[in-house]
Amino acid sequence: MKNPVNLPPSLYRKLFQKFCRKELYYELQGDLLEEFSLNVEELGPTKARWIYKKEVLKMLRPSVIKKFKNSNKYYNNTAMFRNYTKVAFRSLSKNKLFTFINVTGLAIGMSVGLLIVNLVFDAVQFDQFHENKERIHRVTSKPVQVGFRWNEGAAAPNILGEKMAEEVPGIEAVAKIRRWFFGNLKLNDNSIYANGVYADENFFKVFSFDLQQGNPATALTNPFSIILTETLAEKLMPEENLMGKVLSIPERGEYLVTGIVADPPKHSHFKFDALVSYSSVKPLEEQNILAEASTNWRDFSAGYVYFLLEKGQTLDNVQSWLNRMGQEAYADDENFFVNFDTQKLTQIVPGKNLNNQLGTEFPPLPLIILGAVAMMIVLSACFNYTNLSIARALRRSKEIGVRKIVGSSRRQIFNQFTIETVMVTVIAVFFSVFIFMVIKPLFISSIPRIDQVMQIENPPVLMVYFLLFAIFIGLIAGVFPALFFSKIKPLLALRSNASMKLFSHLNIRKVLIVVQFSISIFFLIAMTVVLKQYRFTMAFDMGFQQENILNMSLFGNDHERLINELEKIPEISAISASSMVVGSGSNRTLMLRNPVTNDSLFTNFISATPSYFDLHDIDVIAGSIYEPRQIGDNLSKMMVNVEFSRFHGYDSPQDILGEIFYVQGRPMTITGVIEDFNYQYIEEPIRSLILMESTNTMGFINMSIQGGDIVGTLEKIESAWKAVDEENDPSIKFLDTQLEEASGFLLIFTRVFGFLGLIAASIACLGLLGMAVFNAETRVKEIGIRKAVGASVSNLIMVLSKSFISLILISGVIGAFIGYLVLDKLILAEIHYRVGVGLFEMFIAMLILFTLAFIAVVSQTWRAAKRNPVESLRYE
Amino acid sequence: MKGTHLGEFQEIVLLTIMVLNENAYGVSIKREIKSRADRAISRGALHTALSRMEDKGLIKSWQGEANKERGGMPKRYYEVTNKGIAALKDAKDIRDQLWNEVPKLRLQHNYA
Repeated sequence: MKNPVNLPPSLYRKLFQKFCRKELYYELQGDLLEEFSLNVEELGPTKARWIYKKEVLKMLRPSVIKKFKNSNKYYNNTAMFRNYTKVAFRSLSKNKLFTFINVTGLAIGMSVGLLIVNLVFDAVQFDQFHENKERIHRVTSKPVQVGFRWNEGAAAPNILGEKMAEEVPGIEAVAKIRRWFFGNLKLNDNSIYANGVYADENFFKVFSFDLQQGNPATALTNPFSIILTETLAEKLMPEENLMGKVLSIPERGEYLVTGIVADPPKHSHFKFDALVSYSSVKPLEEQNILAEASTNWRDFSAGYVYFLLEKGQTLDNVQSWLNRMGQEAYADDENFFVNFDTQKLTQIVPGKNLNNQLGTEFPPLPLIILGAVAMMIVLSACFNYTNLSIARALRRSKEIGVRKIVGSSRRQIFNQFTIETVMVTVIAVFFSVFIFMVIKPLFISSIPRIDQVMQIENPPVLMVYFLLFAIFIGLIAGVFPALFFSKIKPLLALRSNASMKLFSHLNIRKVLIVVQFSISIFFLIAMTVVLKQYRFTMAFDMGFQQENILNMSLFGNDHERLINELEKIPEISAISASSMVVGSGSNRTLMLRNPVTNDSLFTNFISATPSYFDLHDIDVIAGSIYEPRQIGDNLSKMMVNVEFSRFHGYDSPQDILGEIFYVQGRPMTITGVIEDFNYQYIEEPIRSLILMESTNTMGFINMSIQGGDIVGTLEKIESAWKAVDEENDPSIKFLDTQLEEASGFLLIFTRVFGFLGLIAASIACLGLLGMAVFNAETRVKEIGIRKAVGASVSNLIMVLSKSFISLILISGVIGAFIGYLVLDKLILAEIHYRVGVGLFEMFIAMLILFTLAFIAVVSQTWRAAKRNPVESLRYE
Repeated sequence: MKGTHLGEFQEIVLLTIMVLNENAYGVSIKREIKSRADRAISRGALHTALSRMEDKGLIKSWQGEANKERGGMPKRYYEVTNKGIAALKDAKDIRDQLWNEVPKLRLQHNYA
């Protein structure tokens, strides 16, 4: 055994020996050891060891620890520092090109780093304003069902929250939230649209939203109470106290204003304009205005359960109760149970990827990827610095030699060069802040929903983090050259012919160049491949008509009234109502029971009027489309897709016609089978689908339009909309644009990869340019001699560029290999209908980079090769 | 006056050294303070106090014997110098004076 129990921890014993002053060591260590052996007898070995460790750490005080070597050897440190700064400035201004390359490279690289610093800075602030943030958790649910893959969701049945408050000890309060409160709030003649949630009376006990008027304990107790945010109240009725006023909401009744709350802070993971008391949910459900979810154990999308643990309590109790409930509550169905889990409030944003988020979501994976990518680019800029600094050692070696002979220590030389690097990075950070200011709005606007996390404003404290970041980068970039320079032996440095020997084993420089170029090639390949996937997606035949179709959101209006109005417009050749925009992926699911196997499973579902199929040009393969529903008709007919009949074991679509399946317990006859079409994203394979005319789930009107006058038609549609809904503006979109938006993330990837590739490539080329300049300058005499003996210009260019070209070829192979692995096996693997990574994309990427690199190298070697040999050999 | 001003902790350490008489060294001082004042101090903090007072000449020290528990490392014993005793007396006098000046009634606890 390395560490017998009755001996103090050896690591700490040795640590103490290391840092304690010699003259005090015997006394103090003796005392500690004696104390330790006494403690072993009195308190037992474990406690004694723990005390010993604590005692050692507390010995870290100026009166005990050794003085640093040399610390009193140089009295005037400020003078030296001033000298370092001065020399640094002189050498920077003497080598303008190198300074330019370094500062530009670092500035470009760091601006990407700053973006990430900013993003992290914003992301970690989420939900920090809640007083009890450490004790607030929410319940997440992951249903497990045979034959259907559920994702873990942020929502949980509200009835679970009710039970939890009653049954689980150690919980201070449970706050239930029901999402999707919306409507036009009306007061006298004023009206305003508001979004919000239903929240119960524990809401303010759990969360720390700032209720400015009203009683936090009772404001949400009575049914039909509403709390408005300051902004909403101000917009509804400027300069008037709305407390105690009654607002009416069409179809939802009258609500008493019982409180005014400050707007939810930017860094709250969910936001609202208004809060309605949770006790209103029950009456609204009874009136069929809300779907019955509050008592439904199978609701995994509308309700949320947050709870506040008592002080000092752990989650163990809660978790074991949740595990039990996940089985007990679903005991009637042997093919179904739920894994309930808990998630800490502060881990929601940034947090894991969940379905049905209540508000902002920000999975950590993009953050990690972005962070890694930014780090690669910043490191690439650091490499440049390292590379060029070491390359210049030839010129600086004499200076260092003299310094050393006059009496500099290694540490001092090290400090000098570190200071120089930090200076360069601090200069660079000023430029990079400018670049950052320019690219930040672009970044925010090109990545959807990132504006929920990242704020446009730059708080001043951020600049402090930027400066710290710059110093950190300076240290990384500077440590290697500083080590290198401080190692130089003065005698060697001062002997003129020895200078070349300094570089004898500097393969690291070549490795750095290869790394840089591999990174650039990787990004360029990624850009071209993702662009190819985007083109492929756009051209992909999704199996339905995409042109000349307009979709209009219903905003809760009656679709039949709207269709009646729209039918008057001659340019509209067909109209249908449906529950989703086809191909956009936002479909719903329903519980379906197979009468033969008696299996219950969730199935994708679209609600559509019969004209939907013709309008979208979806072929009916067998049977016929259901008849339009008349008033009073029961919902009893549905269509399915071919995949459905295949999935349920029917060989031919004909066979399934007339079969009865149970949807949410209701018997439905299959009247027809349609061909498979991509109703979800192209990333998903086509799964079984049912279609029926369920009137209360309609969300969109689909219109097929004819004729050239689109603007005129749109105006007519708008006036038809106004006849039905005066308050809201219509939202009309072309289907093909919506489909483009649905695949827009690919375009974003292209932009991001392209942007990063460009940055990485420009940094790499800057570095290469610097190396080429250096190479040409140090070999001036060689070139002169070669030329004098008869070498041609093209010959010389070959000689000078050879080593670089081979380096770039090597990095081309490495970058292409990594690009293939990452893109083909990781990124594209997520997409069902996809392209492959071909040689062509790799070739394009390499061609771009090779051209750039070639220009950088040849421009310099060309200049060197053209020079008159007389000039370079004159002094020999 | 200024040079001999004692901190509260220093005063306790000085008094403890005097109480321990011949046997005042790191461990014994630390344990005595722990048992009398129920005050857990680290050896490091004690060292700082001791070395400061030794610099001021309030205490002196000499190297003592070693034993097995100490891993063969010698103890260092401490003793209060005359200057230290004078500083303690000064501190006590000031306190006594103040105590005497406090009106008797104020010394009862108030239970308002």
